[in-house]
Amino acid sequence: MAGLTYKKLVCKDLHTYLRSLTPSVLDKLYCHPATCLAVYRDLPELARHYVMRILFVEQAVAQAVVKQWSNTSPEEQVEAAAALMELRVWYEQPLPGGMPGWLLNPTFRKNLSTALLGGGTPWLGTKDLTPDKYAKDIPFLDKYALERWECVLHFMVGSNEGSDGVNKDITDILLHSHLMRVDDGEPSITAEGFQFLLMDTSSQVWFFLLQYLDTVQTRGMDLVECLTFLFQLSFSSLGKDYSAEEMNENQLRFLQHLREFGLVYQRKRKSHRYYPTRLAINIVSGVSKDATGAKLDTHRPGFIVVETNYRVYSYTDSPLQVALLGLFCEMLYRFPNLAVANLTRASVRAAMSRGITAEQILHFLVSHAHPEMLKNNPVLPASITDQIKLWEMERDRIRFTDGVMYNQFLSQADFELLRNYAKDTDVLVWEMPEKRVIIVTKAGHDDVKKFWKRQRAS
Amino acid sequence: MEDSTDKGKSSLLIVILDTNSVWWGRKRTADGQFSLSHCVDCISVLANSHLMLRHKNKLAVIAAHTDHSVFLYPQHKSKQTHTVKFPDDGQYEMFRQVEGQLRAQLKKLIMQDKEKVDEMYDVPEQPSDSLIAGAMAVSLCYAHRLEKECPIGETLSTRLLVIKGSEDCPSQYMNFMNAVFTAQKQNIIIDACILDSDSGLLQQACDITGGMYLKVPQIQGLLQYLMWVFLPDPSTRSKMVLPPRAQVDYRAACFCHRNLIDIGYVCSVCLSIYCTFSPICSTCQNLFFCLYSYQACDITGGMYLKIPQIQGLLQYLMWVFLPDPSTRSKMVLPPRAQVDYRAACFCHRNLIDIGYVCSVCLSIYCTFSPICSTCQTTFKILGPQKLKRKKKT
Amino acid sequence: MVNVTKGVLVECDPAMKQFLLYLDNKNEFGRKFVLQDLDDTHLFITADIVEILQDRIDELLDQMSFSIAEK
Repeated sequence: MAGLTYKKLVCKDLHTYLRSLTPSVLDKLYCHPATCLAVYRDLPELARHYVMRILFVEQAVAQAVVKQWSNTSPEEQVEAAAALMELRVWYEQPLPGGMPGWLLNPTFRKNLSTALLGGGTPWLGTKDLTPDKYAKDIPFLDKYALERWECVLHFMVGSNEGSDGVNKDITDILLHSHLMRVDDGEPSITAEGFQFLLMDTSSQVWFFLLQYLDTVQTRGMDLVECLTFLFQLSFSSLGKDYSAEEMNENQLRFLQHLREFGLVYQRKRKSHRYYPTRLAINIVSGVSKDATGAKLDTHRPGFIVVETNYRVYSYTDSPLQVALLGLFCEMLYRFPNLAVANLTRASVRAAMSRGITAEQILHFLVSHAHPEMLKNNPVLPASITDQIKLWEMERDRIRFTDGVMYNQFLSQADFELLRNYAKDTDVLVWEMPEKRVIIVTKAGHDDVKKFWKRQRAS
Repeated sequence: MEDSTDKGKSSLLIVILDTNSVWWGRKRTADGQFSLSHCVDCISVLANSHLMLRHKNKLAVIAAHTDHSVFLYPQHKSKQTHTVKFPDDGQYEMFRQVEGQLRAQLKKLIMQDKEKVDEMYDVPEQPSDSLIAGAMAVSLCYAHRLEKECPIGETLSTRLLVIKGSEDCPSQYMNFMNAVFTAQKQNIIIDACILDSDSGLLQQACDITGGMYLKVPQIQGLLQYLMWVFLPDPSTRSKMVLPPRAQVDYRAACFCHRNLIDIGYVCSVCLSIYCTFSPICSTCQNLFFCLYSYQACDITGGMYLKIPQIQGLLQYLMWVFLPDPSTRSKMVLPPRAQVDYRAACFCHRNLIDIGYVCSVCLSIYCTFSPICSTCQTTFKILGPQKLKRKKKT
Repeated sequence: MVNVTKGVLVECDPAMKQFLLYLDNKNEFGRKFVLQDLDDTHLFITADIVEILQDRIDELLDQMSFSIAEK
């Protein structure tokens, strides 16, 4: 029942990621309008309005004044102010009168207004190019990006299709992120890897890039340079070509890596122009903040139909998608463009024992739901949603906690004394004042015992 | 950090800019500080800030001109003349495109005006009001289309922002109110930013749809007002401290002369409003005093019967009125009565054989009156002396 | 005077608790394993029985669930 608990795969959102960077890196990042734009969009709604209101105010604004701008709950105000603080978008600065004030980070201010109003230097690669004789249209780019990305996924599930395109860089990152591990010299997928497969594409790409960015410094590349380029890419237009001529050595290397992941299209390695694909565009705001949020892969229509009788129809010819479905379904029939499966208790429990959560299964089903399914509200039949959650709850219907029980206290005072001590030292598992019973953890037992002896001695 | 409801939600902002050349021209001469181009600067910053708030936010800008309304942004793909160039400075590509297009389109609009004026020798006076109602209708259609095109699972919340300088136009009252109620029905909020004198109509529009109405106290600070009051979308507004609602002027315009009136006449059938009494409602053609029933029968093709002997009422009813219209053609029924087609005069409600008819609104009068009481037309042909003489006799 | 007992705290729903008490009363595992009945949702049991107990409960749940899907 209480099987091995797997680490749930956490996909950091942009905010959490940026917070983990050092202030000096942040300040350097803000030197480019694209980063400021990306950071701005990731702020809480209220904070975005705060920034807009003081964008053109060049001095510190009293904190009391800012507080009066909104009449929402104090928690929300604090959250907004804290988010701005954490990302160094603004910082505290006392006003001449001694009142505490907020001052917008001057670099941030300058570059955000550059993005909004113009001025400054042009962005990288925005040089007017001669028309491309091999110009690519959007459907082509979509197809290309998807193929590249599915290569990576194929490689993870170990299917032979197209996995020859996966080079060492990608393998390294997969190993680094513990999505795969090396067993007998062959990389194989881990529990985290399964969870990764069930994420929607944009979350996958974002997670993957975060892992990649972790390793850039060891590759001798500059994190700030890569991030800036990435943000800039995320704000470029689909179906347009950009110039790679002014890029330096490191940026070109980064571009090659992005090309491998399918984020940009370059006809030839030496080509001086590149096309960003849908995977790259809007990557920063494409990260879903919660796993249940129904977010769709914009570049591919959904194909899964779930019926109330636990039957799952998958209108796809992609072996990868069928394999993913097979992670938590019992496959029944397979046709050229359709696979039929059943959701059963055994299949779902098997998935859960691999570390996949009910939420992830549901998210996968919703994010790949067929357009006809999307017309329903809720998208999935309620009975299915509930049953999958029940199956998960069934797994931890009983929780076992090792512990030591203290009972038969003579007085309430003794009980409270010991209980409070256990509580303060954070070893208390459970208490029941009516029967005067407490249970402490095994680790805490010795300590509590000693304390009790001291008390009795005194 | 965004709440989960923020996902899949996008906001469409439609800005309706009053480009009335008469008003802007006067403004320019009266107050050299503020011009249309300044206003467009402010609007493009507001528009870009709106787009900056969220990736999925959408934008449209419509110019309400004196005689037509034009989309300034977005531009239909086939109509896009110049290829979009990369900005030569650090501005975000998309923002540059918005700004460039706004300016280019507006310039085109004004040049067209100028050409028109140049062609004509005798320049007709331009109306000092703008087609706000028309622009609103256009934007409602646009919003409706976008909402339909919106992918399943996503919601689009729309609001209109009317930036207006010229005065209200009561002649658009009906169209305007129709647009406002449509907006209300579609859950579209109408905001108004007034540059000059208060607009009663827009006050009503904002109040009905739950939008913000703001008369800008200092026009130099327009941008700051736009950013503070109109940038937050409706869901955020509840969290912000914003100017309180203004007192709303809820006077309606009468349907006959489009004047704003305090007290008027209301048709009991269709609720049309008139400032003066008129025996026929011009909207629903209802007659307010008894129409002589034989006229009614004749017009609609029914039977008219004056019962010669009231004792035989049942027999008359059974014979004449029981057959339904389709059967009647097969039956021998009393012949049609001679219809008295005399009309009642509008002044004293007398049936008259010969009377005076207003040449404008066709109202009927038994005595001559120099002003038509229905449409207020003055009949200048008759001099006042003649009238006096008639009164003496 | 305080009594100290080592064991495992079990947290479960009331129905499952009753099942555990039933197993205990019937001596299903050849001995008693419930040390203390704490409240509706908590029991304190001996540590060495946990694994056998888990198998038993899995068995029970398998018996209780039936195939919902039609083939």
